[in-house]
Amino acid sequence: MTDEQLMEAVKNGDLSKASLLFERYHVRIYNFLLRMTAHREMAEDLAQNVFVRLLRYRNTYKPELPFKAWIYQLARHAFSDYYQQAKKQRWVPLASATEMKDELQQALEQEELERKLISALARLDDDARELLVLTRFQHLKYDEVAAQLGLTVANVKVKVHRAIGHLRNLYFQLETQA
Amino acid sequence: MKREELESKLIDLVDGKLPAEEAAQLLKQIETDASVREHYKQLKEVMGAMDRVAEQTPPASLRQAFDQALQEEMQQPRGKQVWMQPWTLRLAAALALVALSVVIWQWDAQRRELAAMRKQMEETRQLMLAQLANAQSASTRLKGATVAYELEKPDDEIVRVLVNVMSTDDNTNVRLAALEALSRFYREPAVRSRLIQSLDSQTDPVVKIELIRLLVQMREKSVMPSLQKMAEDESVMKAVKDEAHRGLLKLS
Repeated sequence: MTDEQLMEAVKNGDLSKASLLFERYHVRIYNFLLRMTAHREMAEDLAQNVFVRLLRYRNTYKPELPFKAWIYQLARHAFSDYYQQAKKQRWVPLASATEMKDELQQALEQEELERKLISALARLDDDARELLVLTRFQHLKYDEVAAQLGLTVANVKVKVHRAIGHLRNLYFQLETQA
Repeated sequence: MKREELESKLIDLVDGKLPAEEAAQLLKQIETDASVREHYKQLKEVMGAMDRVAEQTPPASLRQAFDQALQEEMQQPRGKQVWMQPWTLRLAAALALVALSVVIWQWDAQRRELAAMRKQMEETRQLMLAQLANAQSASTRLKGATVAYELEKPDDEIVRVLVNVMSTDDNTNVRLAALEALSRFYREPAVRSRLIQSLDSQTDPVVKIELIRLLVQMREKSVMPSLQKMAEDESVMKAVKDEAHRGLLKLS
């Protein structure tokens, strides 16, 4: 069954089909949120929130929309809600929170290269980071991202390339500092 | 060629998306121009690093939480499918209802309004306490702390729960939100003494730093011995020691 058929079944009351959608999507949704928040526990919490929303708001799913686009929309909303609250409450910013955690939990011990990349990624603005996470880590196609963000494909490409350029600068700035 | 245009072509080249003819021209340029060569090398490294980042496996608790949510959802009667509205919408709806009832029941508006407000406050209080105690979801506990932040005056139970969350929650941001809510009421003697007591037992350094800042802002000199101890203790994290030191300077 396709994702859309499964979701249609969930919408019509066959909730057991939601388990199959969870199987297909939970790893990538968790990784999307992990790259966006740079925080394992928060990513888990938000991923959980996404699948709870999938169940609770199943009536709002429109079958003509690809399921993948819809679930990413839920994940983007979950992140956006979290981020708006974080800004309002002046919580620890992503990068510094991560650094503090890293300082404390040396057990994480990521490879140096990956750590540097994640640090550079955390310093990008949210929109640029989201574009890179969607296209480079989640491997969504430009047209899928364009539909998701309400942009043209050409515009997405320009923005992704700019984001890579910024990331390159940040990445090698970190190398100089190190 | 403008810098941005060049960079875009270099990215396409790394991705293998540049038409053969353009790729050949660009490779020639890379060979002859050292700055373009360096740019290309750096892009290759950073894009390669992105390709190599391994996908992380979600913790098993994500599946358990989903299974539980699914079971709960299956037990709900059909049709009641959008039953979790954002908290603010609920509050807005409740307020709209109160306003409407005022118009309809004008003759005893005052009595009804007071009753509704009392009930709503109690519900909000109960909801907040339940949110703060939600072991499954850090974001729900954050919401609880946000509601607490908006209280005019907390009762003993709320203070006790907030102090407990600030001291023991697994999530740094939840602890910080609880501290922020408590900081609004630091003039209350009960809150003040609880904040002072919790300084030594606070285990999260980020929260500890914020707590030191608050106690210093409160001009609470009784914590000076604790700060002194922290500033001298080699096992304490440097950022915390620095903050303790700064606090001592400000209080003395």
